[in-house]
Amino acid sequence: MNKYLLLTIFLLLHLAAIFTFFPDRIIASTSKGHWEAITLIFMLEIVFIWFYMNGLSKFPGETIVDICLRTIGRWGACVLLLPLVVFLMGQMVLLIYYQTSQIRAVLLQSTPTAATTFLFLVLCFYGAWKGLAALIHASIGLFVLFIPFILFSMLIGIKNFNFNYIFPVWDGTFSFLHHADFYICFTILSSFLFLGMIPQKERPVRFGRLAVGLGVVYVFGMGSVYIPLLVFGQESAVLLQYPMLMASDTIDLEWVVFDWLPSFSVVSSSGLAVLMASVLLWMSSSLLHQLLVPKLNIKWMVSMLSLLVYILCLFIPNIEVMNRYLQLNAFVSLFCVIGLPMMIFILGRWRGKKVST
Amino acid sequence: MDVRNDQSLSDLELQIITPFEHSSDFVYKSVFIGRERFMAYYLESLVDLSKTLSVMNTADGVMEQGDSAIVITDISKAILQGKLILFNAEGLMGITDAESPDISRQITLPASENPLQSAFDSYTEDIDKNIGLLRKKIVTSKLVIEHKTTGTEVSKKLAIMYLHGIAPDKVVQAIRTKLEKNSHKEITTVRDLLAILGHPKFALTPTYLSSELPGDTVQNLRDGKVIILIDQFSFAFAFPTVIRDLWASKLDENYPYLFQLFIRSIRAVGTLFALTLPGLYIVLNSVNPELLRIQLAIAVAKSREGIPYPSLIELLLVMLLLEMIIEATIRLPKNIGPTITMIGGILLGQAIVQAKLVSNLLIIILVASAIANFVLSGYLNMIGIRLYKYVVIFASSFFGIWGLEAAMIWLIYYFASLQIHTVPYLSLSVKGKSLDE
Repeated sequence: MNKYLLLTIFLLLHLAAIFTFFPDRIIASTSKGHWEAITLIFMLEIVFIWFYMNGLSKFPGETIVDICLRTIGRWGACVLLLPLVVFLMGQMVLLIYYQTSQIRAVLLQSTPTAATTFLFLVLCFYGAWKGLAALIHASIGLFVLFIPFILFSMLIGIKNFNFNYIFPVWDGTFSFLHHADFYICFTILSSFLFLGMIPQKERPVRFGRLAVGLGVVYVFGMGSVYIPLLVFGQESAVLLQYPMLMASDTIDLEWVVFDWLPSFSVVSSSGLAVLMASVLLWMSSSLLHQLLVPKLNIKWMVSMLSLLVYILCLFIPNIEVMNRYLQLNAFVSLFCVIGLPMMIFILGRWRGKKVST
Repeated sequence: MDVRNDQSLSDLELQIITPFEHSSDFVYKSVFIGRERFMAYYLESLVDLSKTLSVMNTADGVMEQGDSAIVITDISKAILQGKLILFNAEGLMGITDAESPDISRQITLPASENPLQSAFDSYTEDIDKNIGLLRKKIVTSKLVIEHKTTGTEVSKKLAIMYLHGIAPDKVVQAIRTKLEKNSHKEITTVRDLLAILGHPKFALTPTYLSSELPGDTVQNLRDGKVIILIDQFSFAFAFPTVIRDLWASKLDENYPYLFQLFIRSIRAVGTLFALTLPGLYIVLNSVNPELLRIQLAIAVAKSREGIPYPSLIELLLVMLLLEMIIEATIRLPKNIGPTITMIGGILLGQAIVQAKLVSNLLIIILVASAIANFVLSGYLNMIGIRLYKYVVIFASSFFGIWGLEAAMIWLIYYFASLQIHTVPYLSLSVKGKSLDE
């Protein structure tokens, strides 16, 4: 495994989460000074990544499951990691639901969601079946295939920018802190947790590079919020269900043979979402497999979980209900994104002391 | 003089003769070398006796003295390999390398590849000649050549070659252990070799590179690949392949760097086009026509006016026709080949459109994707892409642009999960220092 591969998948997972959950939540959580909310989230993430990587570096050659099993026993590991599984599964279901409903809205109006979701899950199942190493390798291919589309669909919006919408830039009250939508954004931070599932020997990536990678993600995060904001203004953008999509729909480019430009945005974001859902599926299967039934072949676990996710996806009736589930999942995510890195960090410290005495 | 007198033969000689009872080209007779009388056993189709004897007589009877530990199976194997077995009056035995009649092909121009501005010599069927060709092309003591023989009933000579210090040890080791573990299996086709090496049976992309040109092989060696030569195959097989081999022909490295970059990027784009164009036709025609500009969408719809079946059937029909033309042109003798191209050209060009069986646009798409397909380097690479195109077509006809995208993601996942001799397929180089390892 090479560091560029890991950075690529790190970037792509973040982008997938950003294009799914980020812009509408940030725009809904505050009416001015959006950059404060975005910056705060990414600053918190960088702190958590530091804790996580620092804790992990004390246990060379072990994954988070090995660490928990060895230091706090099977029950402790279950208490710490099962909420993570719940969160990952929830995240996966919501991600797939959101993406398939977006595909249905934009591309396939007459195809039943069950069929679209089925294809989506078949891909995730295949990816998770092949394992994390294959997914990490695939990230390079997906990067080459989809990043041009992403950049294209983001940059064409520049034509319709109205820079007056950037004001007011400062919000002294930090009103977003009182808003539930802001905390939903914490679910995107889960994109770094996969690093703990790779033993350090195969993870030649240090905190510094991750910070640089996160800087790139920050630029994309800012872009994803400010592009719809600068095109529509806060009052209109807050009403839109797919702000990024609508922003690219306002453009008419003469030289492109395609008329329906939002499809670029849908194609790229759903492509990245497939990668993210595959990684989430693999992570939750691998966690459950190691925690509960280490004797069972992991492929059975992947199959069962895919079936479960498929059924759960079909049970979500509409996007409002999805938003409610998203808020529920945000609570679990706070525990996982903040609690898990801290816990690993504390375990690392504890072990460091034990070794030195 | 033929001495078919079984009583006069010792037990050992009887054992030599028995396995060849039914081979009419097996001969045993007494000969004189120097002043001594010998019994000679050999296959006359592989040994030119009079030439061998005259050489031996001038060299004054120098011959290898076989040691006593030789077993009878070794002797029959030696006979099969074209050696001459000699017994003298005291029963001492020798196995000598005999002069062979001229039954191997001369080094000629390549028949299935078309090198441009490079060396033009190509491999022949004789493995030693091929190794010699390579030795001449790459003069270094780092070139390691290991001979192996596989098969119990039908034995086959193999040679593994690599550059010491450049080919990764784990790859060499992986190939060597596989060959040693399966040395009892027989090789008659390339697929047998792949089965021995443990390659996936249903791979979508060729897991090896075959080349007729020694110059190509030299580049492969320098890239860190391991070369396997099989006796009586006029191709060198390079292991393992990586995705770059889809569009990188080794001969490009003879050109200035910018030109090479240009040629290779055209091939890479060709790969993408060959895969997606037919699928895209279906998407834009029947599932997501709203993606196109309205003028273009109308033009597309107009071109299909009066065609009685859905675009998927239309596409599959013409695709089948195209595949048949490709196959027919490859197999036919050179003097009938042009006829097929002409007939196919007329058929696919104008007649089928005028008969309102398929649309104009489809012909354009088809030709573009066929050309894009042939841009790839290597005949085998093309077949993989040609095959996967159908997956893309079906996915697109069910799910539109999302199906096309899903098919591409699936292909990437597949490539990412492919690992040949410990080297991931999605690497840019076998040597492992590059970006992707």
